[in-house]
Amino acid sequence: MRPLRAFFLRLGNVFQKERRERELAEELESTLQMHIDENLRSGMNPEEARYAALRSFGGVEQTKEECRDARGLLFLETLLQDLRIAVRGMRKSPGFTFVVVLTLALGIGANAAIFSVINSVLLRPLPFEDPERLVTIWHHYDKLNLPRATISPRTFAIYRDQTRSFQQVAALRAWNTNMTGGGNPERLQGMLVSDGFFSVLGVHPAMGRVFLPGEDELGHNRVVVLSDSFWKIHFGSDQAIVGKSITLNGGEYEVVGVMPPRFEFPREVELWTPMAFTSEELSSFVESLTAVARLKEGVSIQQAQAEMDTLPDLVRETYPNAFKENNGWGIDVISLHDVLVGNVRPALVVLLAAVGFVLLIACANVANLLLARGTVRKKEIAIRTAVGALRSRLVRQLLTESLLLGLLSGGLGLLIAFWGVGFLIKMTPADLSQFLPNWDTVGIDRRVMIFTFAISAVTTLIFGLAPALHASKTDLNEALQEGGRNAIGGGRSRVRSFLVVSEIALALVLLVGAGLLLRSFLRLQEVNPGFRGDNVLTMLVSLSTSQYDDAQIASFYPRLFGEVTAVPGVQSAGVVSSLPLTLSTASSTFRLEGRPTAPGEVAPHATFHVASPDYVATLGIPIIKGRSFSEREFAEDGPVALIDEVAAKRYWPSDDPIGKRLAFGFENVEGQAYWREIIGVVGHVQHSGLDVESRMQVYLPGLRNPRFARGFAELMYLVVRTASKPETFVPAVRAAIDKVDPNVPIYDVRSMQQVLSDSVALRRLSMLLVGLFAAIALLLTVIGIYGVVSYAVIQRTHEMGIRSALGATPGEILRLVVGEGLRLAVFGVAIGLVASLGLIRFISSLLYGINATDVVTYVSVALLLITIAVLASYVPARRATRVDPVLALRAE
Amino acid sequence: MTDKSDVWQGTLALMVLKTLESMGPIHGYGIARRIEQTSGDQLSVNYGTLYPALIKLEQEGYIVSEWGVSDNNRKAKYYRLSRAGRKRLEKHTREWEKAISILSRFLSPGKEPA
Repeated sequence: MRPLRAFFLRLGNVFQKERRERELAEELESTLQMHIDENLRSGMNPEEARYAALRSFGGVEQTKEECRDARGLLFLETLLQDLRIAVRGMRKSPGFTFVVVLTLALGIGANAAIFSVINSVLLRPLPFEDPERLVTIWHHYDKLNLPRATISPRTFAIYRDQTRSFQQVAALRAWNTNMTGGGNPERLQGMLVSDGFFSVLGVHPAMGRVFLPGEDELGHNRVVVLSDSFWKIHFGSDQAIVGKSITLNGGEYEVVGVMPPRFEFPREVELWTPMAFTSEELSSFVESLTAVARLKEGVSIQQAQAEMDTLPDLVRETYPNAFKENNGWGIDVISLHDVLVGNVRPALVVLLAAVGFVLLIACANVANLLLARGTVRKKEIAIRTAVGALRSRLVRQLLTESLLLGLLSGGLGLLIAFWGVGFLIKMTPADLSQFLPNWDTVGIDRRVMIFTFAISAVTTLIFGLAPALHASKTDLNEALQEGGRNAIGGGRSRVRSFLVVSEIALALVLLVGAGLLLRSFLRLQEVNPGFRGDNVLTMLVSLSTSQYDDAQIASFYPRLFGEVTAVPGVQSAGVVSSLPLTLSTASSTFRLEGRPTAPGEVAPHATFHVASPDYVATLGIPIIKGRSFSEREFAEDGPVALIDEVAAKRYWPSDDPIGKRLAFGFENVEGQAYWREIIGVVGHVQHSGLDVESRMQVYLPGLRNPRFARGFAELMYLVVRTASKPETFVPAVRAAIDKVDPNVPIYDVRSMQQVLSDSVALRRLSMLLVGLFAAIALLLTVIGIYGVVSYAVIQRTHEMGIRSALGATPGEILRLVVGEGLRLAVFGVAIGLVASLGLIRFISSLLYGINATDVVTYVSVALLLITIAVLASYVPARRATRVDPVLALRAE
Repeated sequence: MTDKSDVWQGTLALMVLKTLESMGPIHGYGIARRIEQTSGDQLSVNYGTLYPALIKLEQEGYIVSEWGVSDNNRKAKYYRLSRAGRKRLEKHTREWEKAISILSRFLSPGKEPA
């Protein structure tokens, strides 16, 4: 192993430098002497002999350097030496080091923080077995503009039993339940899950067992599995919990198992219980289930999709009554990860691009600083060259210094990232983070650290290479002449200008992005939600249907309204089954009396909302025509309905809809349609979000089908219009509810303003972050322009002196210098505009109400940057006008 | 000196080993002179190349050095061949002879390669 032996010898040599140096010097000296001896013998005089020997030797110092190279691990040795020089240099100019490290650390830290979110949410596999084989199954109805609907028990059974692509298919449905029996009633987030749910995900309980086959039958389904955090918080990690009973919705459930930590699917679920279908439910086409499935080994999503594409025709043939209308029904197979990440992915990618730009701008600034310092160090570098340093050696040393700066910045950046991640987590509303996979693992892990140091190293190359190459290209004669007058460093100032132009271009792209997001957000604020959100308090009020029978439910609400409106300052109160902008909706097709839907025609389809008489008025939804429900219609679920103006215009464009009748299929009583008379037309509400088109809306005073009616009572939103700040009414309203029944839990208490603001949380967050990054970019760019112009002014002091000596007025000089800044800015802006037009389509999915080529944004951002560039060059320009020609010329 | 070629890359080590084999222990200066003489003064040996080569050969264990005194009483470092060096020399000599014979067949006109 010769190379190995040599390696160890060299490693040893790194640490025995002095002895080796001495020996080398002696050996070369003796060789030189032998040359001289020889020359003397051939008859030269001593002086001649020495010079001839030196000439033929070809440079003792250079030879030594070559030998050092061969002798030790030059790489390591040089590195140590360069690091020593670098540290010394930093100590000598702490201000410079501080500015550089801080600039870079901000850029690196922001990148690391954003990356740590991407790392967890997008890159980390889901915490399940073979997560890439997990998919979800959805329906879509092209003709109803329903891109993603849940599936029905009937279709679930088909997908589970009659498909070949899946190893196993499971269904789940939210089951929010009240737990009683230990002090205050508690509202729990539960999930009803079909048999096989846990094995689809491939998770095993930490304690006890999951559900057995057969426990999904009515009568055997009173078993429950707890999540780890629920078990820890509510039961104090009771080791003997398995086998104990808890009371849910008034019924006894036996705890059979506890899941391991971090298994919460969906997140923040506290318990799971089997989904038990009645035979009626099993044959139902009402779509209320979310399906999750595991693909068979080797089956791709595309293959599964191809199989599912063949199903609608088969199902239509088998159940001709269920799919009479042509609603464009289709089935989608979507990877579980994609469903969970949803619209957060484009936002995260845009944010990463934005911080990437900030880092590039920071690099350009630092490169400019290093170039400026390169000028200061010209002499030092010239001396090194004179004593035999090769250019490659100098470049290495300068790069080592940059690397040290880069690593210091990386370290500080990591600290900033720690803080930044905390900030991001705090800024992200729970509504948004709740469904993000692996959100709980967001933080600085090994991969983030590797990423951070990788970008520090790459950063070093970007900002360090140009200055190093430039500084090492020194003209010895020019630099060493004492007081040598620098001609304008033409090449160097070109590089500096190039850097500033790139900075301006990058900043422009960022500002355009931030501007577009800001304008989208403002547009969104202008959207009329269809209700008046000020001074409205909302909360979920949940009646346990095992404790309340139908009559009790019917009498609960009038008593509730009585107590709540008795609170001083409360103007009105109402309840509704689904509050706007909370993603809780139910939708269904319906029939219009006297207008049967022809086979193949698109059936009328609307979201339906069970509402009390005062709901519409309390939320400030305008009544356009007719009236709202009466107390009696609400109490008895009278055969009446309200429709919104969209439905009115669509189906009765010229008639009066009042007095017409409609019927929802799911309300059929013993096969007979339950006809409801339209008694009022109300305003359309942006129910599904300010930025999306919402379906037409129908309000009902109750639900005729008892199975649904009872379910709705478990999840009614109370809305209260108050005279002043709604948040201050929470205790009084809680007390009013207690007067009716202290065992009724309330939760999700928010003002309607809060609901509005939460519904645009992702947009606000992306806008704020991109805006923040754009502001940093702008600041760095201003510093960059200022730096370059000031540098040019210093370089041209002499020239300015001559100009004013020859009669240039201060105004002319001002114009000259500011013109230089302006030229850079115009260049940068032009390049930036072209780049923006190319890049901005990547954020088009985040925009609302404006075009990605919105002229106002582009023009105002361009003007902003040019103005700022002029201001940034004005300060150094003023300095140039004050150059005293006599002093400038005397300095010669 | 411009008419002299520099030593070809990769051949210097072999020349050094051969020189040490034929001359016995000798110092750097002697090696340089010997190579120049042997080449009929067609080669010039640069110390910036020779000394690093000596250092490498010594690190790889092919040659051994020790301080000694030269003919005219100068302290000098003497290099000699080690056993490993002798083996390497034999091996490389064989390889070179083979390479030269193959190349010469290609380059000499008239003789077709067999």
